[in-house]
Amino acid sequence: MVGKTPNLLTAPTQPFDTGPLVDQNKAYARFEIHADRAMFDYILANKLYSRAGQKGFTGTVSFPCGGGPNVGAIMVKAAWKVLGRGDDPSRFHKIDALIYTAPSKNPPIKESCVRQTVGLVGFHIGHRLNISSQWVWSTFEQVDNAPDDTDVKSGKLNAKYNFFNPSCKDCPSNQPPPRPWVPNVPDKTPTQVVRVSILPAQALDSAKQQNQTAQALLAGVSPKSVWQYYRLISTQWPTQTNSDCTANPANPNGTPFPQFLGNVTLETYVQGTTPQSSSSCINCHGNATMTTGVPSDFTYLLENAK
Amino acid sequence: MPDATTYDVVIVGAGVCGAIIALQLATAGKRVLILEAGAAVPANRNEYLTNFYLNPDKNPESPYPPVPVNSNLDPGHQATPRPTILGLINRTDPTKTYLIQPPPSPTHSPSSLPFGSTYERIGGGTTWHWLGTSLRLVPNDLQMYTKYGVFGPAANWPIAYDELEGLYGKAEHEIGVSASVRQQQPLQAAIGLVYPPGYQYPMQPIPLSMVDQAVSSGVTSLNIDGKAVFVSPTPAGRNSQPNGNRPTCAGNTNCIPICPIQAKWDAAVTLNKALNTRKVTVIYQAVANQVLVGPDGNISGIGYITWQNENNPTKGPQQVARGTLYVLAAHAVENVKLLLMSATNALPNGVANHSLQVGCNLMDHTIYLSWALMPEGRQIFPYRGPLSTSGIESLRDGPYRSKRSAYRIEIGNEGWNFPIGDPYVTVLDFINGTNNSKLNPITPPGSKPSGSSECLAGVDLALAVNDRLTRQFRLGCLIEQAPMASNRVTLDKKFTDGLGLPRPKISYGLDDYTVQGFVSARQTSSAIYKAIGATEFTDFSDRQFLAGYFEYAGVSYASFGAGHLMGTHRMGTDKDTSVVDSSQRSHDHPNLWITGSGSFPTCATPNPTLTIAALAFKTSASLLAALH
Amino acid sequence: MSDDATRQTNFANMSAVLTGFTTDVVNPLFDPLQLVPTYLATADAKGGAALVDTLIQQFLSLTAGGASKQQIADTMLDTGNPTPGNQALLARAIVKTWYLGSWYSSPTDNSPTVVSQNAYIGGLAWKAMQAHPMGFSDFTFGYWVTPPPSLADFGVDLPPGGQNA
Repeated sequence: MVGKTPNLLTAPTQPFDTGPLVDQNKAYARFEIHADRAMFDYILANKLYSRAGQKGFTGTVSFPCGGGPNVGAIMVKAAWKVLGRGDDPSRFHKIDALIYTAPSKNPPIKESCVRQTVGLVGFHIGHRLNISSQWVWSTFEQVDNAPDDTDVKSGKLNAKYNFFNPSCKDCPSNQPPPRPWVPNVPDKTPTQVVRVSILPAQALDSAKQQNQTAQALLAGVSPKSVWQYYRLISTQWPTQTNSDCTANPANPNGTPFPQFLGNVTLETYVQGTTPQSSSSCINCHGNATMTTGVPSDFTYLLENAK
Repeated sequence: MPDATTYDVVIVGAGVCGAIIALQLATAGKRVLILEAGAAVPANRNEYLTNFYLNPDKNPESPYPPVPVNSNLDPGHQATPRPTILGLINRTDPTKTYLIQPPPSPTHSPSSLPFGSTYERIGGGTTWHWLGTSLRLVPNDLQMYTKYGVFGPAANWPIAYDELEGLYGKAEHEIGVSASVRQQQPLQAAIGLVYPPGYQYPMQPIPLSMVDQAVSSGVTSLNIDGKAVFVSPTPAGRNSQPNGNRPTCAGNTNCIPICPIQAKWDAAVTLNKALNTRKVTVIYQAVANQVLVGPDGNISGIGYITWQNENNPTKGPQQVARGTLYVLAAHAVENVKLLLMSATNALPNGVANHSLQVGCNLMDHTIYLSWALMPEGRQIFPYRGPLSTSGIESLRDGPYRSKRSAYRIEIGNEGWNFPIGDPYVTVLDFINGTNNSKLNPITPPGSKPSGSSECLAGVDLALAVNDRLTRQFRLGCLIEQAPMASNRVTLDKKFTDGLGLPRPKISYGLDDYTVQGFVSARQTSSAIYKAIGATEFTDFSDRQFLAGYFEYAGVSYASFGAGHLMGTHRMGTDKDTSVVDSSQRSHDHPNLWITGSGSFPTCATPNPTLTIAALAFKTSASLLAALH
Repeated sequence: MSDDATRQTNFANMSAVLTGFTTDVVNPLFDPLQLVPTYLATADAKGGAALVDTLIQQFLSLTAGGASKQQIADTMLDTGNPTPGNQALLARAIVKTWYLGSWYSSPTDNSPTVVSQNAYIGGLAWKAMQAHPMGFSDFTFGYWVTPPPSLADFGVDLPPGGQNA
């Protein structure tokens, strides 16, 4: 985003109505999705921006794959937390944002628009490549989000987290607050987020290495950068796919590795190791369709067309 | 602690009925309390789906608590036991079956059979594992006595089809049903199915599978009892496009027992909308155990106990939920159990039972199951898509209903999974060198094997599995069961559950009218297979172990439960012969409604959930009127 | 490669031949479902590591001896014999678990145990019929209208020329 206009943040709940993410100050996290030029141009050229356009589209949705000089389609999703009491702003990538809450009858929600400073807590990058028609999915978190389930068990906890209260002994973990979910009204239950162990050792080791390398490079050029407080959780990619932007039709998801992946700020309530139900980028996005029910090439963006 | 001045309505049961009624009432500003016997709706499907994946028996109950694996759990020690398929298989062992079933008939007579259907007691109810089939009754279904002279005058539904039509529209929009009126149009001439002019389903239809296409093209010249046989797409409560924050169906072929991605609607969706209003409270793990009646005949409260630990539960204290009005929505068996348990000296036959019909007229859609193999090379690729996407509905009404049951024919997309448990049986046959499937070698009933059974390995094994499994399909005729007072649910005097509450005792069987429906279903199914050119493999003669096995006129049959429980608190205009009125309001107690498929006076042929939902809207209107 | 890794690789290659599927399917890169180590551990636990080693040895020498994959599979599962010995029975049990995701302790075992969730969803029987496990579909809305991808696409190790060669 460029210019003097603050960013507009709206979405206050995670996909499929699984729940909102409520921080320790009882504020709702907000989510946003952006697409790159290649995606934008494809949607525009094929008129996929409207229901009518989607209805008239008779082909197969296939966003540009990166390779050679072409970047390919990239989509990003961000989770933002309102910076408030107890938060150390120097540890976040911050933006000035307009937090808009849309009115609703059920649940009863009054419209509001409030200007706030928000800090990035979670970030997804999906990138379509020739070597992965199922896209490649990376996810990043701010380092203070939540403890691992192994840390909770062993009692090895930090003093403060964005989405976890270390001194609460009976807060159930990863449970959405009771309904209704009203983003702009106080009296909310903070979410007690715990990172569920779902990654195999190879994925953990690889991410650790990536983070060490990146952080070392960063420290060399900008030791005070906020990006030192961010880390890659992992990257999911298909282990069995073609290198020409096509897939094996009998294995459309390409046997992704790691099998499960999620971000505690973006897939808070569906962490786990149950196939088809627990968070897995490719598995979930593989079900995405346009408003017509036609598959939409691993993006849920198109189902929002009016 | 619930308070009499706080709740307008107390509802027992958080299933399809309870959720719809709660939403309607709360939207109108009324305060609602729901008592749900079982576990809360979880934050995600992980646990239920893991239960399913790990359970070797993939029956409808397999994902849901309490999790019966190899039928280890004793209903006598569970807080919320319920009927299960494993319980049905072990139906003579009270440490394994929740329902106390009738003793088996030594002559395999259909007049005494175990009741073959099951349900769940959890938040969201049995809709967790309904198939999604959303069919409307047709006008003649409501008037079996007037039109066909059968079942007695109490069989006529006390509701006009015009009114039901409007209610169906509401139900279809709440659930989110995918269908096209235009595609259903041929059924107008065939069975009288009509829609209000201009009516549109909320979502586009689910497309037909290759199995559907094969059946459809095969039956083009077939007639049964003067009626043309044709295939119709099945309206379904399943997303054919993104809807309600839930994804489009991806054909997981697992609607029963659990849709992994919630593309299929279940009552938790509506329950969540109800909770959003701020007017609804749900108390989970709260088993209603008494309907309290005041001296004026009004209900004064619902007694309930909470519990912890499903197995060998710890009970909370006896509490009472109070409201202005009360609704039982615990499904056809548990509603009855509660009413009968609430008997007092003043009401020795139980609450709401002046008619003595509470528990009587228990009905199921008894299924005549058949299966066949397409000719060699004619692959139709089953085990794909939703469990069923079409059916033959054109035989659901006709003059023959004066003599025998009508039926709808569900076309299954899951090969021989239901009939024989494939792919397991056939794969094991080809590795072990056995022939339990009758496909190793291909040996239709009544013929001799062409050679010995093969043991295969490697690519040969894969090719044989492919050859057989890609040609399988099955039909299920859902037969209308006649209501019979002797088919009933009572309280067992001896066996209790883990909370000390009596367990349901079943008396059940099929009358001649219904058995004639089986005879016709058998003939029709065979005729369909013949018309398609498929080889039929239906054979129950060596399956006497099946719970629903019976013999009639020298032929072996098996009756399978469809998962539909109906009739046990039927509606009617006459308080001497019915339990509730057309709004499902008790004739005996003005502030009590008893809801669900237990209210159906007859069951016709369509799967009941859509009608349950439709009637719930009428009940909601009735409740709101009573609150003013 | 360590002994363990070698043993695992041999088990994977043997499994591919016994089941008739390619090593791509049975042992993909990174093995996200971890079926090879899971089934090897199961076979060791239920059949005994010594017998598993014997099977692997049999596989390696048949392969070295130039037998075709089909011949190897038929020999190891003793397909001509309606009552095979323990070695072939273990080989058959391994094939069953690859196909169905459950361990069958004998040819008449009718209360098998599901080895793991991944074993269920990785079952080869569903691929052999060009479908998917009931309860786990990677396909998209409407796929059931038209024929599925080919058997070769599903990973059956067909000779060039395909199913009808």
